[in-house]
Amino acid sequence: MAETPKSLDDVVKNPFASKASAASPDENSYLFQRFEKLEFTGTAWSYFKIYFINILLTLLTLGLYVPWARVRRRRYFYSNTRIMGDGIDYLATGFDLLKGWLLVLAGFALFYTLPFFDFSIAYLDMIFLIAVFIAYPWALNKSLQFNARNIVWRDVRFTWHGSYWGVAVNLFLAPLVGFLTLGLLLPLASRMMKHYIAKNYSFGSERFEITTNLGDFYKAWFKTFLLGFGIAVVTIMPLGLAYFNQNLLEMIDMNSPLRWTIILIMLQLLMVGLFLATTNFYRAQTRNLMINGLRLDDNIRFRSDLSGLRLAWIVLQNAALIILSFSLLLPWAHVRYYRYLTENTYIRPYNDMTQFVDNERNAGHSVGDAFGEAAGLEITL
Amino acid sequence: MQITGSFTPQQTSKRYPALLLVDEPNQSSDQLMLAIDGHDPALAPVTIVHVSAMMAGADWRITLAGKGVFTLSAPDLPESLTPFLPKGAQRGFFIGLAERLRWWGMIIVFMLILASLTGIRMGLPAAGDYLARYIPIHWAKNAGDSTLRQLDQLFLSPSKLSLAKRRHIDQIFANMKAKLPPDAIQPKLIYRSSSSFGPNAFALPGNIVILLDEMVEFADDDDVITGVLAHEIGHVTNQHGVRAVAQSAVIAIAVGLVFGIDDSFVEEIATLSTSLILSSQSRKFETEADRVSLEILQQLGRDPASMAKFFDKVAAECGEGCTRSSFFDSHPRLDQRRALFE
Repeated sequence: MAETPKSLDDVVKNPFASKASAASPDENSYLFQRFEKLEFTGTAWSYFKIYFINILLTLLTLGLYVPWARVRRRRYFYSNTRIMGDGIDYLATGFDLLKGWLLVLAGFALFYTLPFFDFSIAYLDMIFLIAVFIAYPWALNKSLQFNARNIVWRDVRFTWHGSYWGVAVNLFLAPLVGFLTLGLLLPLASRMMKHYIAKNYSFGSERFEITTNLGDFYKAWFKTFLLGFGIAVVTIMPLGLAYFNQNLLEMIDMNSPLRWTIILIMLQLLMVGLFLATTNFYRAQTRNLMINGLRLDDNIRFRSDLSGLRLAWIVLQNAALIILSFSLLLPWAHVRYYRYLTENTYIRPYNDMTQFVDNERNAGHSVGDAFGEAAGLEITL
Repeated sequence: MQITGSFTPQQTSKRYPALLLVDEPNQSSDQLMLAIDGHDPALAPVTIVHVSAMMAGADWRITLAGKGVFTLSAPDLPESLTPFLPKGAQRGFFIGLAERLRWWGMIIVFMLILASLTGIRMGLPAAGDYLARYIPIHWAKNAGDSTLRQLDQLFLSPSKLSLAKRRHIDQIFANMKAKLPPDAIQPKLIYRSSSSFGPNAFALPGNIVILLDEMVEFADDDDVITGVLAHEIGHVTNQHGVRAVAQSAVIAIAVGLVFGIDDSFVEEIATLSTSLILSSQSRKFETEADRVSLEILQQLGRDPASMAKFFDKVAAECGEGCTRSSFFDSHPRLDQRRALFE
């Protein structure tokens, strides 16, 4: 066996010698840096291929491919998101997700075979549903934990520190109370959610911190309310006028059942549009508040410049295009939405972001993650 | 050969420009070396333990045993690294093929998707039926009993028919049962009343046939009652209840599996097609039960035309709404059902 070369010059002319060493900042260099845009390097075409090949392989394997499909979808979005040029990566494998997936499937099967067993317990399916309901916060908590440990930047992973009751109170009970009070407490609930999420993430061993102002959340809510009201007035008024316009009425056959179908479809579309517009407007505002209030390691700051109207417009256009293209343009719509979110997010690094260490290795299990996916639970930042 | 990338020591966020060296002049060919800028020692032999799968737009993440991560920005992993890759790494490269597809490749993918959807559309109800055959009859009866208990709690009340009337209908029912082959499932008739269901009769999974007082009043004719009960017996002997449950279970699980890829919109479409498949299956069952009804009526020497009249009466009762049809209907159109009995 050849002798191991001892220095770089033994093997190759030192390629680093010509450049000034970038990795060791001298005393005078700036530790504080400017805000830098996050970059998204994905394209509609590349995601288009991933998306439909995922569907094909899932169909051909009768669903067994689903965990791998999920990994590919998540990895695509994470690894194409770059912070200071370095992509985030998602490290979970299909096998990691398979276990949770199989368990959720077993639950599914159990639910459907329950009626065949007579345990002489009344409302057995009710009990099952309540059990699922109780499991929700647990699943979301475990899912956040599992995924955080699998998201890595450079070689430092994230960690989620939430607990069952914390998730239940902040991420389930708070929004529920927000809705039950007809939205009056919704800004408070949004703030609780955002704070809980931010405070329970750490990058390596460094916890995130957040400061926001409750008044700002109420401002965002009020703006959303005005927007919704405005859209409703602008769209329903002409409809109302048309309804009472005699000329128009004569043109339409009043007794035709088709007329009612058209009116119902129009109303439904209007409601869905209004819902999409207002929720995304509100989401953009509160996301800005959260990201702008976020801090890491005292010196690292973040910025989010989303325009609520722009986001609402993107989502409405996406919805229309997805429907008109029979979901062929869905990957394109996803990429477009995600790109808008990413490219309006900024980070102000400190010390070239080299100061983080990761001391944990355990990633936990994927049961909660699979349950969460099945139940449509999702936390997007 | 020098492969330029960057190196991150294990579990840190540090970043150094780095090189992977293969087959350089003074290097043995079975050795992979890592050269790191501004790091001490600058040169070290390394072993690759893991390489991330190919992913459009992503950097290659090459994990080096005990050292850290070497990141490489390139569309393809350099050929020269192949001898140093761990065994498992090659498997992921299959998916890399998919990344290279051009537009015509995607057209083939779409055709394959359509073909497999069609196959699944054909295969699922059959699979459900196949499964139903292995469900023991006492399981089905359990399911029927518990459904009846829930219906009783929620919608049904005891029948108010006179004892004589019930005896009369029981007799008709017994006559029909006598005509069934001896190995057939023996249906059981029970009487209920319900304001929410209107004139109706139905069969539950297992062997229970429920006849509502409202139906007896509405039909007001022995031939029609016979026809209606015979239809429900058709459901029982053909095990439609269990088959419907098994089919909906199979379809729901399959759809959950395939479209669990999480997409609210795709999920909507999937739910829609689920109910389309189930409705079309349900219409098939109804037609099958109508055929049984016709057969039994003929065997008993009763007049099938009375069923045709009965459908006319139903049509007159519910007006325009019943003449239209949609793919979501659980029953075939009235005029189609009527035609069978003429």
